[in-house]
Amino acid sequence: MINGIKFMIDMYVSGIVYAACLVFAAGFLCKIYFGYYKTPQPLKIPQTPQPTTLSGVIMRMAGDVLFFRSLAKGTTLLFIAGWVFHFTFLLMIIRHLRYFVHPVPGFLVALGNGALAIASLLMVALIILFVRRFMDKKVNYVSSFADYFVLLLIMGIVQSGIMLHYERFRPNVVEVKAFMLELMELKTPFLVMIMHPHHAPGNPLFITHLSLVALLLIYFPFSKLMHAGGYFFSPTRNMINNAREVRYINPWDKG
Amino acid sequence: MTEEKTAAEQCDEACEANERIQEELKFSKIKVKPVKLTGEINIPDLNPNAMLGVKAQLLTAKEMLEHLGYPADGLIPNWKEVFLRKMDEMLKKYRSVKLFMDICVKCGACVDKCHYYLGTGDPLNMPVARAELMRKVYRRYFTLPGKLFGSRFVNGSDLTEELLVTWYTYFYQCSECRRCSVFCPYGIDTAEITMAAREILNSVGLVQKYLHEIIFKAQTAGNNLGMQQNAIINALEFVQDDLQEQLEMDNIRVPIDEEGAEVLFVTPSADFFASPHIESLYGYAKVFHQAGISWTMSTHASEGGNFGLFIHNYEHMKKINKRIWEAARDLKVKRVVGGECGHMWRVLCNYSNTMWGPFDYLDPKYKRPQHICELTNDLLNRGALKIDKSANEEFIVTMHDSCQVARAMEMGGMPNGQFEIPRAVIRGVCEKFVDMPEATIRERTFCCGAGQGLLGDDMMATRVKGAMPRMQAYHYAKQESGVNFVALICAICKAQLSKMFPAYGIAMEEVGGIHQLVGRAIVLGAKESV
Amino acid sequence: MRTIDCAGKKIELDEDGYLTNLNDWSEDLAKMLSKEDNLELSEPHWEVINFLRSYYQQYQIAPMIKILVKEIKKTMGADKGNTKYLYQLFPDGPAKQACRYAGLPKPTGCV
Repeated sequence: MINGIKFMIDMYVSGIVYAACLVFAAGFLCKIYFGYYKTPQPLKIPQTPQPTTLSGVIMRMAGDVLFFRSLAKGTTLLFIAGWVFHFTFLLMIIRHLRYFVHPVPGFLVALGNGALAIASLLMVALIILFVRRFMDKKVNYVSSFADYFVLLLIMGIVQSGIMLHYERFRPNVVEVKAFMLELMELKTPFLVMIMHPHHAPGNPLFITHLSLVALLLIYFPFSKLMHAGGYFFSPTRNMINNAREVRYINPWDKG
Repeated sequence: MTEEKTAAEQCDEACEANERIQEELKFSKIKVKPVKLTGEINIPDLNPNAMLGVKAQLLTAKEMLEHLGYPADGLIPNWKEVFLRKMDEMLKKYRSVKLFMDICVKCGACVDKCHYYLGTGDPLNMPVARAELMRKVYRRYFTLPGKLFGSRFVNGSDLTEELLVTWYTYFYQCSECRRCSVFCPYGIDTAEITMAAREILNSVGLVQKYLHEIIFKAQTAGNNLGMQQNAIINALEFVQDDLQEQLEMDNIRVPIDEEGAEVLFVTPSADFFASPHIESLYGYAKVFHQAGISWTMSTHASEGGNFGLFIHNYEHMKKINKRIWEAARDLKVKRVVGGECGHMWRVLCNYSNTMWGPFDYLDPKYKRPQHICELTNDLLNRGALKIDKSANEEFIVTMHDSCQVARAMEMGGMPNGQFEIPRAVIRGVCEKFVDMPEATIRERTFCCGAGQGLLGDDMMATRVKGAMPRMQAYHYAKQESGVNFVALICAICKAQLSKMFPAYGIAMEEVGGIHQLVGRAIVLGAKESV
Repeated sequence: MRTIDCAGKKIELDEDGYLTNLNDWSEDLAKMLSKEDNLELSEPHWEVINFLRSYYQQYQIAPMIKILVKEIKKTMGADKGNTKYLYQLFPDGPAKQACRYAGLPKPTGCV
C-alpha cells in the first residue's frame, strides 16, 4: 500500500517535471521560430527614439529589457512594481539553481542568505500588481480571468516557496537535490517511461510548489507570457532606423 | 454578372445581413461641443459606448470600389469566410500584427495615452481595448484552445454582425499616431493593428469613404484632390505670377515638369489648393530661388501624401508611391525633396527604398529622399540664405510635432533629428520660440486629432474630441508664454487645426506651416545664387 | 443620400448634401440649400458661386483659395480680397460651403 502511494507520487512528480519542461521548451521554441522569426516583416517601422546603428538598437533594447525604459515613461507605480516583480522573480530562479548544480558556487550561497527578503519583496510586488489590476477602473476594464490567473498562479508559487523555507514545512533539502540531480540524468526519462521513476521527496507542500511551477511552464507558451521571448522580435524596437542608407528588402516583395 | 445575381437571389439572408449592417453604419451628423480650455489634460472616467454612435461614412461609389478591388455592393454574402482568410493573410504577412496579437500582457501602460480616449472617455478608445477587438477574434479562430473549446474558453469573439459594427466604429476612431506604442514595454503598435483591421473590413465590403476615395484619386489623377493637369498648372502659374508681382522680381519661378532640374519637389496637393497650406508653397519657392537650386514640381507626381499607408494594403501604397520615382527618373533630377506632410515623409523616407529602390539614379551626395526641413536647415547653417527675423516679430511660435514624423523616422541621419531640425529652422527664422509642455511634444506628441483618414467631415465628433489634448497644451503655452502661432509640417495637421482653433475659440490665423515663417523671413535678392 | 424638391424637380444630393449630378444645378437650388443653413445669398455670395462654377467648367475642380481671393479682390475691391472676408460670407469655409451651393463636388484630400 505505502509502496503503491509512493510509486504514484514518484510517477506524478517525475511526470509533471518532464511534461512541463517538454511542453515549455517545444512550445516556446515553436512560437518563437514559426510564429515570430519566420513571419516576415515587410517594412521598416522602428519607433522613436529609433537608433540609426545596430549598437544603438542593442543599447535601446537592453534599456527596455533591463530597466523597462519604455514603461518608465508612463505610470511610475506600474513601472516600479513591474520591475521589482520581474527582477526579484529572476533572482529567485537563479537561487534555485543550487538544486541543479553540484557543487554550489559561492554567489548562490550568498544569494540564499537574502532569499527570504527577496521572496517577500516579490510577493509585495505581486500584491501591488494584483490590487492595481483590480482597483484601477481602466485596467480592470481590459483585464480578463487569464490576467488574474497568472498573477494568482505566481503568487501560489511564491507563497508555497516561502512556506517551504520554514522548519515546519521544509522538505529534506538533500533529498530534493538528489532527486533533481537524478532527474537531470540522461537515462531518467527512459526510467520514467518504463515506470521505474526515481524516488521523489514526499512533502505535500513541496509537491504543490513543484506542481504550480509545472503548470506555469505548461501555460507559458500559450499565453501572454510569451512577451518574454516575443519582445526581441518586436519590429518597432528591434529595427535600425536607416531606411534611406540601407535598402530594406520586403521578404514577400523582393522587387 | 448573371451568376452573381442568382447567387444574390438565393441568399436572401445575406442580403438582409447587408441591409442590417448598412442601417447600423448609417452616417448621421453628430454635433459635439468642445470643452473649455484650461491648459490641463485630465484623464476622464470610463464612459462606455460614448462614441459608439460616431461612424465613418461608407464608400458607395461602385466605380471606385471596383477600381480599388473591393466588393462594390456592401457586405458580401460569405463575409465570415473572407474575413478570416484576410485576417490569416495579415497574420502571415505582417510580423508586427502576429506578434502584437500574442504578447500584450494588458499591463495598462497605454490606457490613458490615446487622445481619443482622453477626449471621449470611451473605454474602447483605450489602445489595449481597441487592439483587444482583434485579439478576441485571433484567440477564437487562430489559436488551438480557441479552435477546440470556443470563444468562451479563451475570452474570444465569434464573428457576428455586432462585431463588424464595433470594428468599423472603433478602428475608424484610431488615428494610427503610435503614441501608445511609445509607452508600451514591448512596443506594441496599435497603428499596425488598426491598419490590418481596416483592410480586413475592406475585404468584406465595409470601405470608408474619405480615405478610399482619396486612394482612388491618388491612383487615377495622381493627387488626393483629383486635380487634373491643367488645374495644377493653372494653380502653380498663379503662385508664380503672384510671387513675381508681390516681390517685383521676374526671375522667381514655380517650375512645372521641367526636365533636368536638380530637385524634384513633391508635396501634398493641399499645398497648392488650400489655406493655410498654400503659404508654405510660397516659402518653398523662395528657399529654392534664394539658394539657387533649380527645382521642379511634377504633374505626374502631384501628391506627396500616400493614404495607402493607412490600411495594410501594400499594393495601393506602392502604386501611389511609384509616381514619385517615375517622375524623378523621367525628369532626370539629382534629388527628391519632400514638402510639409507627415505621413508622406514616413512612406518616402522609410518605405520607398524598400518598394522602389535602390535610387542609384539620384545623386548619392544627398539623402535619398530629403525633407524640405533638412534642406532649409542645411542652407541656414551654411549661411546661404539671408534672413530677416524681424519679419516674424509679431509671432511667438511653438511647434506641434506631427505624429507620423515624430514617431516614424529620423531626419538628418541622426536620432531625434525629426525634432531638432524643424525647431532649428524655426529658430533660424524667428526671434521667439517656446515649446509646449514636454509631455505633449516630441516623441510624446499628441495627434492633431484627424490623422490617418479621420479628417473627413463625417468624423467631426472625433476630430473635436481628439483635438482636446493638443488644444489644452497650446492654450497652456498661450497663457504661460503668450504663444500666438503654431508651426506645422503636415497638411492634415494644418487642415485639422485651422478648423479646430476657431472651434475652441482661438483665431484660425495662429495656424501655419514652418515654411510660411521661412518665406516671410527670407530676404530675396540680397545674395545672388551660389 | 437624399432628394430635394426644387422647382418641381426631384434632385439628388449625396450624404454630405452635395449634388450627385452637377447638371441639376440651378440658382433656385443654391437658394434652397443656403436657406437650410439660415444663410441669405447676397450679391457677394453670387459672385463667389458664379466664379466657382465658371472655374470648375474649365478645370473640373474648385479654384485654389488664393485664386478665389484674387478674383474677389478684382471684382469687389481690395478691402474684400482676403480669406477672412470669404469666411464671413461662408462660415463653414469657402472651399466646402460655397462649393456645395455652387453644385461642385466636395474637395477631398488634406484640406
